[in-house]
Amino acid sequence: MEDSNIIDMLFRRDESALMEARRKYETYCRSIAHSILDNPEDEEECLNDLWLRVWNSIPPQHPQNLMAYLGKIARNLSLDKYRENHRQKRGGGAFELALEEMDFVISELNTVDGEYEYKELSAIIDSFIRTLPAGERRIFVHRYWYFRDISQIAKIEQLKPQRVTHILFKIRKALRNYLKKEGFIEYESR
Amino acid sequence: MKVDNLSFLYALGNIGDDLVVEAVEVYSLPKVETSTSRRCFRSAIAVAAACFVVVFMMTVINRMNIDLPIDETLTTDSQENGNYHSSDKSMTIKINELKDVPTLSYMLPMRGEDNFKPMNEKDLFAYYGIYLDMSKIVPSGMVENLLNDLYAHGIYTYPDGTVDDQNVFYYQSENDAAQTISVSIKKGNIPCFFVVKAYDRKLEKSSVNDTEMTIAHYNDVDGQDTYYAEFMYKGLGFAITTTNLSKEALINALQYITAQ
Repeated sequence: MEDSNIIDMLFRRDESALMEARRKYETYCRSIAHSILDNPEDEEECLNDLWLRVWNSIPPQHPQNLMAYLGKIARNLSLDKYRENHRQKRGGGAFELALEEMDFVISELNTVDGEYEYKELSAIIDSFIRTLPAGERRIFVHRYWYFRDISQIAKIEQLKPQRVTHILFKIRKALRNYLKKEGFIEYESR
Repeated sequence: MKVDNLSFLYALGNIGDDLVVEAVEVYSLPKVETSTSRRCFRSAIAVAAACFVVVFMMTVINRMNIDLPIDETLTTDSQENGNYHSSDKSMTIKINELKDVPTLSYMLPMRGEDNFKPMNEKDLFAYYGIYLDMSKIVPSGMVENLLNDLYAHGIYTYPDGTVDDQNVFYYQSENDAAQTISVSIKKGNIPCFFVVKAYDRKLEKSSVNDTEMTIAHYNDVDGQDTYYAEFMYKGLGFAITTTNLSKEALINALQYITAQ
C-alpha cells in the first residue's frame, strides 16, 4: 500500500492504517530500536509506543515521508529508553561506540540553551552532512543515525571495514571543524 | 542545557528526511542512457575472446564447460539507446548502460548473533539445492573477503519464525581490492539489491542458457566500473556485482551458474 493511502486512512481514523504501516515498516523501525537497545522487551515497548504516537500525531501532522517520520519517532523513543536504562552504564555495542565517538566532536561544544538553539544545532548538522560526497554522507548516517556497526556499513557500502573506520574518522574531524566555524565550539576554550 | 553526546545524537536525529531515507537506499543507479552515440564492441570482443582462448589454454580445465559468445552483433535497438547487445545460440546478452541516480528502498534486516545459524559452504549449498564451485566463477588472483563477520555464511531466523537466508560470496583482488565480485543468493527472491526496480522504465532482458536475466553496466557512486546481473534460477534469486572486471568475467559467472 502506498504511504499516501496509509496517511489518508489515518486522517479518516481508520485503525487498519496502523496494521498497514506495521506491515510495511515494522522491520525497519525495529532494526533502529534494536541498534540502540539490543533488548527485545525494550524494543517491543518502543514499537508499541511508536504506533500509539503515530495514531495520536497523524492528524494533525501530515508527514511528507512516512518512512523517515516513523524512523525518527522510533529513534527518539529508543534514545529515551536508552537514557532511562543506561544513565551510567556503557557497553560495547554499536550504539555505545557511536556515542563514545562523539566525544571527540563535541568535547568543547558550547552550551545550547533552549529549543531554538537546539534546532539550530540540528540544522547545522544537517547542512554539514549535505557538504559530504554521497558515499560519505550515507556512511555518516548509517553510523550516527541508524547506529549500524562498522562491519554492517562495510557490507552495505561494499568497502573494507578499515576504510569505513577511516572515513568516519575523517568525517568526525570535519564535523568538529564545521561546528567550530559555525561558532558552536570556541577555539580558545581548551 | 549542556550538550552531551546523547543530546547531540538527538539533535542529529532531526536531519532531513531525504538524508534518512538515502542511507537505506542500497544502490544509487543510473537511468538508462539515452545517448545516440554508437558503440562498436566487435573489436574489443574479438580481443577479449582471443585473450580468453589464451587464458583458457593456459589455465586449464575448470572453465572447460563455459562458452563465450562467438558471434556478437549490435542490433538496431542498441544503436538507438547506446546499450550493448550480443547473441549466440546459448545466450542473448543485452547490457543496459546506465547513468544518473534513481534509488530504491532497502530495509536492512535485523540480525543478531542469537538468531544466526552459521553454515559451511557445503551445508549452505545443500540448503540451496545447488552446488557452485566458486573457483569457476571468481577470476584468478582474487580472494574471499573474510575480514567481515557479516560475510560469514549462514541463516538468520527472526523471532516470528521468518528466515533470512541471503548470503554473499564476496571476493576481491588480493593485493589492492580494486577488483571485486560478489555473488548474492537467496531462496525465492532476488537478493536485496533489486537494481532493476530502481528504474522508472523497463530494462532490456538477456538470456543465458535459457535463463532470463537483467544485466546493467554503470559507474557506482565512487566511480568504479561496475557490472550487475540479477536473475532467478532453480527457485533461487541471484545478484552478481563486479567492479573493475570485464563483462566477460561477468558472463563467465552467469554461464557457469545457469549451467548447474
